[in-house]
Amino acid sequence: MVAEGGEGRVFEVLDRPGILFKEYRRPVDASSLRDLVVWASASGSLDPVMATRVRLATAWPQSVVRGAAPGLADGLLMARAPRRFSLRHRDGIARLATLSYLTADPVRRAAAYGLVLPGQGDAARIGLVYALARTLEVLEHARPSVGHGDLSAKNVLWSTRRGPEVFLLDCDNGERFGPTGAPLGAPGRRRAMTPNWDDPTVPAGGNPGFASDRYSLALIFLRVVGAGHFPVQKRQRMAETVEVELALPSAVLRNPAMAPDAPLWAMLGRGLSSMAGLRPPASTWSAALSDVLIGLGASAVLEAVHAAQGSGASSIPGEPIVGPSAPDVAVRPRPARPRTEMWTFHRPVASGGHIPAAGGARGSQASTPPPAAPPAHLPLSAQAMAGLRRAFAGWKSLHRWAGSALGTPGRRSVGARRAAVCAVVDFVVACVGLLLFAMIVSPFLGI
Amino acid sequence: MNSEPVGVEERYAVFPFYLCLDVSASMAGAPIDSINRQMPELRSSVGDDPAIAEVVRFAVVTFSDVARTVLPLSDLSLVEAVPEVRAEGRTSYGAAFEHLRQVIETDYHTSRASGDRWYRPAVVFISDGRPTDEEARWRAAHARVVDPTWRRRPNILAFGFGHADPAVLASVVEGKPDRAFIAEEGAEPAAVVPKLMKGLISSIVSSSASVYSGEAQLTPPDVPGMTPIPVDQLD
Ligand SMILES: Nc1ncnc2c1ncn2[C@@H]1O[C@H](COP(=O)(O)OP(=O)(O)OP(=O)(O)O)[C@@H](O)[C@H]1O
Repeated sequence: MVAEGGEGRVFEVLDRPGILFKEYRRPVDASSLRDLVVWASASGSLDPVMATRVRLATAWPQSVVRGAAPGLADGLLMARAPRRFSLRHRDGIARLATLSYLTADPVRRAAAYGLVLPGQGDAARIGLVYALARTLEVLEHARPSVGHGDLSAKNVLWSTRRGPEVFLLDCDNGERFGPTGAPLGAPGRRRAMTPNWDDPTVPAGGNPGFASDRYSLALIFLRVVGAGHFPVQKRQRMAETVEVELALPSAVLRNPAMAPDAPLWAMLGRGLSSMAGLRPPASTWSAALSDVLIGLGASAVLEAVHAAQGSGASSIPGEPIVGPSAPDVAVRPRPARPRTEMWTFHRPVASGGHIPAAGGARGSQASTPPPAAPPAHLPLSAQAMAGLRRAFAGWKSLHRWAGSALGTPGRRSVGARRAAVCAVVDFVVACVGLLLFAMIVSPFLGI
Repeated sequence: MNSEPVGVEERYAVFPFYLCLDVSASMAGAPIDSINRQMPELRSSVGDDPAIAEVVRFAVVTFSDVARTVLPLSDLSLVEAVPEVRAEGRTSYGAAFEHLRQVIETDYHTSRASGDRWYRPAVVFISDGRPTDEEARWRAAHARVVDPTWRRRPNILAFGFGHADPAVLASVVEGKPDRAFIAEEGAEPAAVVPKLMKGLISSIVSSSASVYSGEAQLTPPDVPGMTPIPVDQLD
């Protein structure tokens, strides 16, 4: 078994690598599922280029596994998320790269899992939302159109290995919608939404509607680009107006496409609005984010997204980005203060040892000023630090290795040889160090 | 605008869990070993999932003649391993409750200072014996933990096996129904403890999910007769 979810269990399929079987706990209506399968298949109405995009970016149901009872399905077959949609923690075990890794302080996540994550406002994050928008625009502009309905942290996987890419899970939760926005599936079908990722205009127990994915896209932009949770739904459900303060690195805000007066922010506000009619379609988001990426000088990111999706074609031209502000949601970007917390990964002192109650693991709040480097650069320096630490650990173990033999009677000659190796290594390290030192001080001495 | 702006610093309130573990000499051997064996699983189930780790804080407090903080209240994603616990001494409930009251109060202020808001903390109290200290002392210490005027007073769940006394555990949970659980007479601790630890893991995992729904509740380990407890956010 691969995993267990709320509605079913997911298994590998013997002889079919890359394919998973999702078995429902309770059989579901087969015809809705079959319609979804056909929708994306060669016999469906999807243009082949768009069908490829859906295939590369989703675990779309590929076939229905019939149940014993007529009209019911026991499960479905789907593609397994490719390996690049996973992250290897410090322990070496790979885990699905859910959006949760991106919706919190990247420095803290980096400290926790030993991962290198793009910083707040980074072009890679914008690229991920761009990849998502381009996937959703296919669903939205197809006839019939399809709403996923549960674009949550768990259901949207991401990767930046080949350039920004997303991979959507739980697509059997999707629904086809007619031209008027009415669902076409069997009435009474229950479609899940994840708390904290749901559309606040959908009443409790109700199904996500045609415009719910548009809300999710805007919410994902806010949380992924802003690297935080921004819990807005509770207030929206109480019909409060919401003002979101989005902290971004000054370098990002200097770009005209993301400047505080750029039309992008009003657009984000409309996307998050409780007035579903104001929410911009995914194609408008793709057009806007493509402009933003070009404005940031990140056209390489744009091209990488297109390459990973099989083409750069857009399904339809986006609507203009400029539009009115939403009356109920305002997004105000402001320059980020460097976050005041420093996070350290805690290793136990020794097995069985007691560690002091003070400070310790609870992310020692630094009293020293926060690092001056902009957040976007932190992962790099974190990487360099990790490299240095590893090199030092290697150097230490080398000496221990020599010392242990030297200290063991009868193994002195082995020890001597090892000590010689150490001496050579130390000599080289010293030379390199001296050279670096000379390079640094020479300008001051005027050499 | 009706309220404060929503910014990046605005996080979900966290759910603090204190595992309060009896490590008196009678716990030596199978019970302690199995706790130490299960702890890495607990750490990874909570710490390796960023969505769970984000809203859970976990501490281990042990007690025998004295009480100690073995793991200070932590975000388990930032902890490589929970230190092992060792059996020692007798069973002073008084030491346990005195320590709990003090660490919860201190942790609360530390958390607040770093911007974390708290749901009402949960204490999972596990013991295999009767208190060996003077009844008046431990009852007084306990009263201070459950003191209704103390704003940080935790919800307590109690689990007993071996020589634990049902009546005593009932008073640990203030006589509230559905909050204490005693293993059957003669049940092997080696069999009970792993179940308890697994239950604790699923309890933390489902409680953390409830934080995101906005209606947080303490989901007790899946043992007969226990029901979820709604929890409020502390200010
Ligand atoms: N295509 C896939 N590739 C890799 N893992 C998958 C895939 N589909 C599902 N999984 C794993 O199985 C879990 C459950 O899958 P899925 O979300 O489809 O089921 P569910 O029962 O509808 O879950 P829930 O309703 O709880 O989200 C996922 O969280 C994921 O860990």
